[in-house]
Amino acid sequence: MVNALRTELRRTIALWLAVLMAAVGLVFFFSFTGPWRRDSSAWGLDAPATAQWTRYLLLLVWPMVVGAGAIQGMRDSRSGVSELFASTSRPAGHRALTLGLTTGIGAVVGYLVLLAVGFVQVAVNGGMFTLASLMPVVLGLLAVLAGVAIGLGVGRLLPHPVTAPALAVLALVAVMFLEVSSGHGGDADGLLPNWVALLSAAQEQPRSAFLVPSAAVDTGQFLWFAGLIGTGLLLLVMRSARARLLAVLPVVAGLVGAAVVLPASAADNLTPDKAASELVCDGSVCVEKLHEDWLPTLAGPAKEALRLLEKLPQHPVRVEESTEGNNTTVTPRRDPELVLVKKDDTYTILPGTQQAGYLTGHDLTMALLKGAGTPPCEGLSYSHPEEEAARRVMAYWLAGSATPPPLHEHEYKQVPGLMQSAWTALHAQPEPEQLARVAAARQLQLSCQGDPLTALLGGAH
Amino acid sequence: MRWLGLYARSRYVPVAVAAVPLSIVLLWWLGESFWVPEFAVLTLTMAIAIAAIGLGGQDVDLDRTAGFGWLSRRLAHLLLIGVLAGLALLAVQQLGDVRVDVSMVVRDGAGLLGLAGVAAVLFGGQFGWTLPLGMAVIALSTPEGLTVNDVMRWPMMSTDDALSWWLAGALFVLGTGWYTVTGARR
Repeated sequence: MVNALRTELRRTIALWLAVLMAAVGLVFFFSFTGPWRRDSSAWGLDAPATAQWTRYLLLLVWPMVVGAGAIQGMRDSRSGVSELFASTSRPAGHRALTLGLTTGIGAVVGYLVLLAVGFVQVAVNGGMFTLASLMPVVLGLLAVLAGVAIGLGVGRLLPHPVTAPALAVLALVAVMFLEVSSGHGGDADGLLPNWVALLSAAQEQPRSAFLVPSAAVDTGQFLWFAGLIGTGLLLLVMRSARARLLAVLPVVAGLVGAAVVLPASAADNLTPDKAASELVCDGSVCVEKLHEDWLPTLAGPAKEALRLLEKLPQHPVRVEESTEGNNTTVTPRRDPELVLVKKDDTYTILPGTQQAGYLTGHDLTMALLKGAGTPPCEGLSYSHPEEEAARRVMAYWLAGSATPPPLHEHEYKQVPGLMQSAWTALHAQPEPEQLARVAAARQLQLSCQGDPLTALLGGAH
Repeated sequence: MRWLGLYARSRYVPVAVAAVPLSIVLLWWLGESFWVPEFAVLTLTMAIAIAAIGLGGQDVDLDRTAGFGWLSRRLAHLLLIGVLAGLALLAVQQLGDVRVDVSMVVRDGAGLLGLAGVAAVLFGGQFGWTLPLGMAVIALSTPEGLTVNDVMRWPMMSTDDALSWWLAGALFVLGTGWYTVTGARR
């Protein structure tokens, strides 16, 4: 068996497939800039996101795997030896399984090389490994094997030269179409029902370091990929027409199972990784276990922000890191007791410099005080100048600043004027009225109903 | 004419003639609501990839015993694939409101066609589809950004971009030239 495998490995494109997968993946991750290089959910920073990014990469790699499977599946008929082998006494299943095993090994090795490079980087970066990153790995491997099996099976069933390119293109169109029509992890559902979008071999890009696919997603995809593998293998091994008809059973069963199990709403696709999102606290300031090393940076400025917020009648008492993903279409969670902060949101052009970096010290305090410790109601604050202006005026008022908030470079044009007028109007009032207006604006930011700028100007709210 | 008929059959022309329009219409119908360069490139790639399976014959050795020159025939075959794929795409997008520039179809078609030629020479006629499809996958999934990105996503670049034209042109010359001279791998 080992000998046969070795011969097959040399004779098939299995090794080339592994090389191709690893090469394409590594070029993708290392030479291109993109979301896999930024933010705290970057590839190679922590294990959960690294495993998910590797599965996201199947968007490119899966069509190649399917195409390679199809090329292998019709090898016998291409060489014109189908009849010859059918006349030997060796069961056809043996040869088919050796072929399937070799191609499968090639694909799995290619995928594991990518994962290994990612995980070595996690280790080098001192990142965190959690048990929850295991499921994306298992599902990624299953997806790859499903691609191989379907390619092999269809290649064996329809050994025409057009089968391989048609199948590869079909795979590409399928993963791309499911990608563009998914809900992208937000509340808004995509073009297709959520469970259909989840059938893709590739996963959506991770938008938070803490969130991993929920158990329902894992189970549903497991069933679906297992069904695909079963059908592919049956098509590869079975010879009679009736047996080949039976081969649809596994994929239909997998699809039905997936349809039952997969969440109907995109909001249930992701769940916090328990090990990574355990809270680590320094007094009233907490971060997730994953970002433990950020706590010393956050603790001082956060306590200062809490102290300044005490001016308000109903003020938050703790600062906590949010596990929510970066999604500009979703209103961030808010809690009157907490100042919720995302580490990625503190990565910006540092004031007074041209360089990007994580905010520290006084700048971090001011960022936490924006909107009096509330997250913005509109996902993209800079497209809502009124809200942005109000949020900054609230921060500077709380900090007891003598001057209005400074103007940033590349500012959205309306913001400076709005800040100036709100600042002047607010400071024309006696102290208790100022306090009441800021407190009212904070309430509006907590309920997301009404305009905080109007509240600061003293208008109806 | 008899020669042409036999040649067409041995190069899977009937299959291509059936499959290419069918798949182009299908993809256009799927992507119509957001007809963007991505979908145009994908459609063009698919047409070229499917037609490119005929870049080699049933028996390359037997072909070479023919008493005529293959050079002009190979060149004509390859160019015809490109012209027909491009025309099919241009024709189908007339049905909708959003259209991709003709110059983009010309550039991408030429570059992808060259890749099909290279793949046929390197891997054999049946695998003429591998490199164009691989290129399309990489181009579609590379985000905008550095120069490296621009090189990899040349089919997606604006038609004002000189680099993309140079790359497509180089691939076209390399692929058509090499395939015309050597033919598909046996």
